[in-house]
Amino acid sequence: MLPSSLLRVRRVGSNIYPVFAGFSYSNLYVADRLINIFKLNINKTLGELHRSLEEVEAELCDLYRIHYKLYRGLLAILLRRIRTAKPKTAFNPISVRMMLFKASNMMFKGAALTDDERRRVIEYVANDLGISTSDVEKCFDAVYEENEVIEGFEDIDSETLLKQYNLSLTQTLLFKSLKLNIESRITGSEAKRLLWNVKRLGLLYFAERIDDGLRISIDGPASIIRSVERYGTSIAKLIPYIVSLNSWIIEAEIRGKNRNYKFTLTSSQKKLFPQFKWVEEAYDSRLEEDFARRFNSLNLGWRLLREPEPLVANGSIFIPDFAALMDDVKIYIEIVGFWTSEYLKRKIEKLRMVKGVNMIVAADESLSCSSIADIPHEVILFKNRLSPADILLALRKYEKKREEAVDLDKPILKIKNLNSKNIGKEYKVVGSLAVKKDLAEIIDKTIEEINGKTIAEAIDKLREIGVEERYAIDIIEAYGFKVKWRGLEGIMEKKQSTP
Amino acid sequence: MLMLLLYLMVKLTYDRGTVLVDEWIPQLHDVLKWDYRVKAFRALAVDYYKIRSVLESFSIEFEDNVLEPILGSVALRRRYRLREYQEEALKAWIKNGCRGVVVLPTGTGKTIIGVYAIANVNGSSLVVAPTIELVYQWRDKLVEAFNIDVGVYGGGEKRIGFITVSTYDSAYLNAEYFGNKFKLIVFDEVHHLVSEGYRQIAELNAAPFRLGLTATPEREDGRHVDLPMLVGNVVYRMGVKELSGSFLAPFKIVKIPVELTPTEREKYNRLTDIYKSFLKSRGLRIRSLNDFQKFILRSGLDSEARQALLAWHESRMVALNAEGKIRVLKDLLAKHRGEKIIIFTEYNDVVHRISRELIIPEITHKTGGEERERTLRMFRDGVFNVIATSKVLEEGIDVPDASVAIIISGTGSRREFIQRLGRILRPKDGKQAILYELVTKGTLETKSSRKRRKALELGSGV
Repeated sequence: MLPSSLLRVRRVGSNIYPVFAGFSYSNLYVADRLINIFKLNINKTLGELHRSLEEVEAELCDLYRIHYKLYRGLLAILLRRIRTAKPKTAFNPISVRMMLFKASNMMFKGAALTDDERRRVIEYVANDLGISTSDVEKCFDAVYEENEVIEGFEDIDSETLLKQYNLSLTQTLLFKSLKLNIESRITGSEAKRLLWNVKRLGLLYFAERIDDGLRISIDGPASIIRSVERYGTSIAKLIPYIVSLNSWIIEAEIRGKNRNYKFTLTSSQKKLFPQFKWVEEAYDSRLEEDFARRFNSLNLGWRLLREPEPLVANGSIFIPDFAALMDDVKIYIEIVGFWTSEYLKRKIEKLRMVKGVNMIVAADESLSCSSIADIPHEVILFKNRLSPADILLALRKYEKKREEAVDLDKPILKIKNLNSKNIGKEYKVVGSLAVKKDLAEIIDKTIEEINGKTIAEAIDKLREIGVEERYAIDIIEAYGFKVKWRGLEGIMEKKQSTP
Repeated sequence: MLMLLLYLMVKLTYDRGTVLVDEWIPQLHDVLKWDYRVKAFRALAVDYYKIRSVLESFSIEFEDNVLEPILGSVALRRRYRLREYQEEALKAWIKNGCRGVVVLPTGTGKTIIGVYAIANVNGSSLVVAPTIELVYQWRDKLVEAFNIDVGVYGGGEKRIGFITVSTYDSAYLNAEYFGNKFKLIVFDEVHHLVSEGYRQIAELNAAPFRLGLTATPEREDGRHVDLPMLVGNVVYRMGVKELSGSFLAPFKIVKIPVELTPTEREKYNRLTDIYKSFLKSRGLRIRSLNDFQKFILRSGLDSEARQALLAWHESRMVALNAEGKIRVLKDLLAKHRGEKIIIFTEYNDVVHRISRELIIPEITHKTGGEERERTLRMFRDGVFNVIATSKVLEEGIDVPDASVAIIISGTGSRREFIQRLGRILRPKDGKQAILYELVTKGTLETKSSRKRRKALELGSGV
């Protein structure tokens, strides 16, 4: 961010554009020269740095036709990359100054008015401290910023410097913004990061679904009553998160002296800006990732996706934990922590506003803060640990009623696809499935082997004898096994009564 | 039945500088706005006072969760002897429902009016002042008056208390946080409040009681018309002339013309020619601050304009920092040796130069906290007699025995002039205050000087 006096814009009608620094030869050259001057002044004073910069300003600005505001903008960014320290002096400079002022007050009732009086004051203090008069003068000057010593400079290349400048320039323009609109095909985790920052910065947003993603408009609580610049600084702080997205359009209303202007920027200009790679927040997402991996490794026909694209409900953005996909059916799954039935109802209510979307809410029974009776039907309860089977059962009712061609060569078929004539002759009924008699015999003989095995092992076993994965769970259930969760693994266990 | 009543009750809650109202109240149509983002009606916190009084006057039942004032109470440790005008000012403010602005010249004891206002409201109070020195001064005064731990925001501190003193900058940054914690806000030097940024301190705050204090409520940009909405009407006003001699030290103003040296004159004329011919070639005329800003805006566009601006700036530097002024300064310091003197200039480097050449303590906005505090303390205690400063101390110090002010350079602002004068007007037995104004002859500075001195002629609380 730059001082507003260094903002460079072009106004055309009601539009306002920042004058970005492109990667022209002259811009890159000037950036390089400046970076070099900073490097050469390490271990020198700020005053010396400023003098060498002043020396080249006229040359660089006039010869290379660089606007002085661009020149000073680059300087402002570079100045933030240096580390300075007060010069080393024999005594604390402030104390020495106080001694000097006291001495001039005591000896001359206020001020040293002649060169001779000044010399006597300095000598007096030098004697008192046992140092030379020039050391006293050094202490006197040590408090001024220009005498600070440059200890280090965080190096940068010229192209990155220009990109930083463009980002700062955009942010400086947005200081005066009243509102920001973003259109983007934003992913779930990107939206999560953006909205987390919107909240952290004390802003409010309103979201709408558009053809190609979301439109999010951002301003502050009081904006609805009076357009205030108050939120401009916070809005500007969102820009690094936005320019790093894949495709985006931003539109802001900028307050001018007599009128407001419109500022538009799109991802076609993305290469002008630095791209940030955000380190994934270390919030507890490993459990969820682990769950998705386990679920998918079972090949149950449904594929589980972590942090799917954001959904919009009544202006609010909502990012479910998972989406379960099968063919073109998509079911969102949200896992809740501590809850009351009231909370679940409100949650479901909110989810219902997302039109045309199916949602399953999974709640841990042990984290209930109220009676668990009377919970909405979209809610599945689990104990301690969500198992793939819990989710699968809830997903079943969404499975597409596929018009499966009755292929009598297949060893397993869904009963509803058969007429009863066929079943009796060649198939055995197992739960909702019809299994060819020879396969059914093999299953009968071997099924007991899965007792005590993990789900994955059980499915493998069934695959070996010719049961397709998508029917495995049905077969297991039909034979009276259930999954018992021990620690991280689901273990097969025979129910007491067989079907 | 009870359920029904509860359902109909209007609920007021605080949300980051605003008040949320869950029902539409037609009588409040001018302050309530439907907020589609949160599905409720919203008003600026400043309108909380109005919302409450409307609901009460129409006997509409409401549940009020807006204020979460810091708990406590205060009592004055001793009674101060209030001067007649202070008592009148306080009465007028209380009569106006504990809202409004009191206009009194610098050095006439505005702080004590603030202290009594806080004692009268006896609820959590926020005092906002422009500089960190004033914040500390208020803190010390409030600690002395109430013997209570006073919270401070500003100068690196961030501590809230039943009574809290903050700089305008910190109050602006923390407006949402302060917004529902206080019953009373006192704005010292309240003319600062109406700027685009600072006004939000008042707008985003729900405190029902407000007091503004200033010597000069009128602003050159005309924004003071918003003060009634933000703080309340002017409830009391008294000027310098009415109080001089009785409650203010008698004073005189001496203007000392300074000649440019021949080299300076030659340089000044050359620079003036550059920008004058530029203005002429573009058909520009500079008559006001506004014109000047337009000129600056334009100068970003071409190098000729930039040259002209630089020339204008440099010519001003020649006039303001004329060599002759340092000589006159030395003469004046010799003449008033032993008296308490404050030297004002427009530029930091001139302050540095004076400090360095004459070994005089200095305070500019770049002076670090430690040096600033030590310097001010020693100036107050009489260890130092002379101090040089740029604009920082205009509103910042309260040194009753300072009797001489020397203005080496300044702008044409009336407020700046009045405030600099005010620094030496604290009454003290037998004190005759004197303000010197050093003005370079035959330059634009003569014009600025004439402009700022108009402050003494206007009846605008001065």
